[in-house]
Amino acid sequence: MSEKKKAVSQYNVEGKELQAFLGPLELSIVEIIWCSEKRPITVREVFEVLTKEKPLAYTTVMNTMDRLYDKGVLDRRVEKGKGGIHHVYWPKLERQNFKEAAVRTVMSSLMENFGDLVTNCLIEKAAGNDEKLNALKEQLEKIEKEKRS
Amino acid sequence: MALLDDILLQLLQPYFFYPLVFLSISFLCIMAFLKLSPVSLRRQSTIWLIPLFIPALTMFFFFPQTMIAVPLHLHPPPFVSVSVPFQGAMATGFGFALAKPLLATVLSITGVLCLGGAVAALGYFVFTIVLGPRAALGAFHVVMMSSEDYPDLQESVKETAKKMGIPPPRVGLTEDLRPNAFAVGYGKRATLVFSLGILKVLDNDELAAVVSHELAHIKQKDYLFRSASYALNILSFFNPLSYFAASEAQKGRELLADEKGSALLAKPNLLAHVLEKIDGIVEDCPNEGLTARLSSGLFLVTPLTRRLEILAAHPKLAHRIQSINASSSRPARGARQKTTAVLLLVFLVCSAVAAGYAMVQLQSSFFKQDGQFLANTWSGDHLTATGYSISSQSGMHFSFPDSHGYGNLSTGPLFMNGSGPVVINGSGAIEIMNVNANNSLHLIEVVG
Repeated sequence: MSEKKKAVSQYNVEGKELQAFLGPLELSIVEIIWCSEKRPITVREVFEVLTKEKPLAYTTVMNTMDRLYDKGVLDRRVEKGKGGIHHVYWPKLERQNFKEAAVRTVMSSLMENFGDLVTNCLIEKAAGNDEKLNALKEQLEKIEKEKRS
Repeated sequence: MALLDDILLQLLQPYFFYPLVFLSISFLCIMAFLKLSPVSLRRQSTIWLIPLFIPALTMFFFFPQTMIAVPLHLHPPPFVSVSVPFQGAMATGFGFALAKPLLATVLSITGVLCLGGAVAALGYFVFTIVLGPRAALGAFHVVMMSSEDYPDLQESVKETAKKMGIPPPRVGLTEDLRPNAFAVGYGKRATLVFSLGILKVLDNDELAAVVSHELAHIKQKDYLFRSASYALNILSFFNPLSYFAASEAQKGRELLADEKGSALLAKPNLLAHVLEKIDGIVEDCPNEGLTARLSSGLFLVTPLTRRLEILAAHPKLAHRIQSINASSSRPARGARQKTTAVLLLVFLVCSAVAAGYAMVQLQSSFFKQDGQFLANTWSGDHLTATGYSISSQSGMHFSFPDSHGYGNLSTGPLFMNGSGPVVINGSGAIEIMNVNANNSLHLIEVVG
């Protein structure tokens, strides 16, 4: 089932923000779809926006969108239109939801594999910043209270 | 009866009657000719254009008119608007009327149809030649392939174009998931388009067969042929046989593209296999949209399943496959073919002459009264009279309306006896043309 697919399947430690989860072209495509008023959208429509900035092959865009569909970032269906029947795509999650889901996926994976190390790392990171430390304390107190009640 | 006469008179106009009859006769002649002595596919498709060309030629000689003269008894007032002052002038015009109006002019419905067809045909032809390729590419949302898209296919297009001796066309793709391909434009402006569906279901060899077929269309300039044949079809849109003739011409070109395309392949029957493969898939997901209907003739296989075979642009698949397999054994032109052609040509000419004679006889019967031709034509404020005899010592005075109201016209002493037409028009002038006047004509004075 596509719902059980993880939001991201890879993490790039050198990438900034969402580039940590998606390749440059993948991110450009998803950004276009997130910003697009027309949804669902065809490969050609994405291709036309992308090629305004730099020359690209249609098949590159098509294969990238296929890959995003396989990864579960995009969803698609076959639609009957003016030029025949074709695939139309839309994002499974909006930008903010995708971000959250991606971070949770990565963190779950890290916790599963390196639980204590990750906790220590998080505490160390938080200890260096008073604001973050206080926020972490509050979070922990809140969880404790919930457990007692 | 008057209505029937009226309809007949409309139909008997030469610009309508001749194209209708000649197209029909030539259609039947060609059908008989092709049945009696089959010819090559190229010749066959060209021959089917003959019935479509005939109306264009006929209309060139008999240009359609929007108004025609009809006997006034077929169109008594109020059908034809006779202005009361003019009637009065004719009746009381100082002793006698110059000529009694016996004919009236009415709108020629057939003339309007012919002119409408001619304008639409010209419009269609110009549109398809100038804007057609761009419109087709836009309608199907065609994306031009870059060098990174399907490089093997693009190489195959270049190689096949080189073999055919034509410049390689541009190559594009549509997002349509149904397998199909088409070629639009001609010469250096030609574009070969593949659907994503066909690119997914066919391997490179099979795609090469499709390329051969489509490039054969480009080499044969079938886009121009198609535009011309449909434009001629539109010109005679009122004749059902023109649709059949255009369809037959298209089918011939399709078979010819199959034949020429197959000849270039290492396995000539590969195209037949590809057509079968694609047809099966297209039948499962037909496209009955308006765009597909308007452009179904362009495709490798028709995207339409609900179609009238006799009007289709593509022959039946079985016929195409049979034709591809039998392409090496086409009948050669022989003596029998020549004889048949000559005999049918003689028949065509005789039928045309007979039809023309019948039309003239039928038409003239409407314009005879007591054995005499009605020839005084009156239309609005304009009168043309023939076969008159006028004499006046003191001159004549006519009152008639012009565009500003009453017009007055006087003549001095006038003696005329002739058979040429006299034209009085509403601008207050008398024109005398071709008068065999025995007596001298002293004065024509225009008053008012």
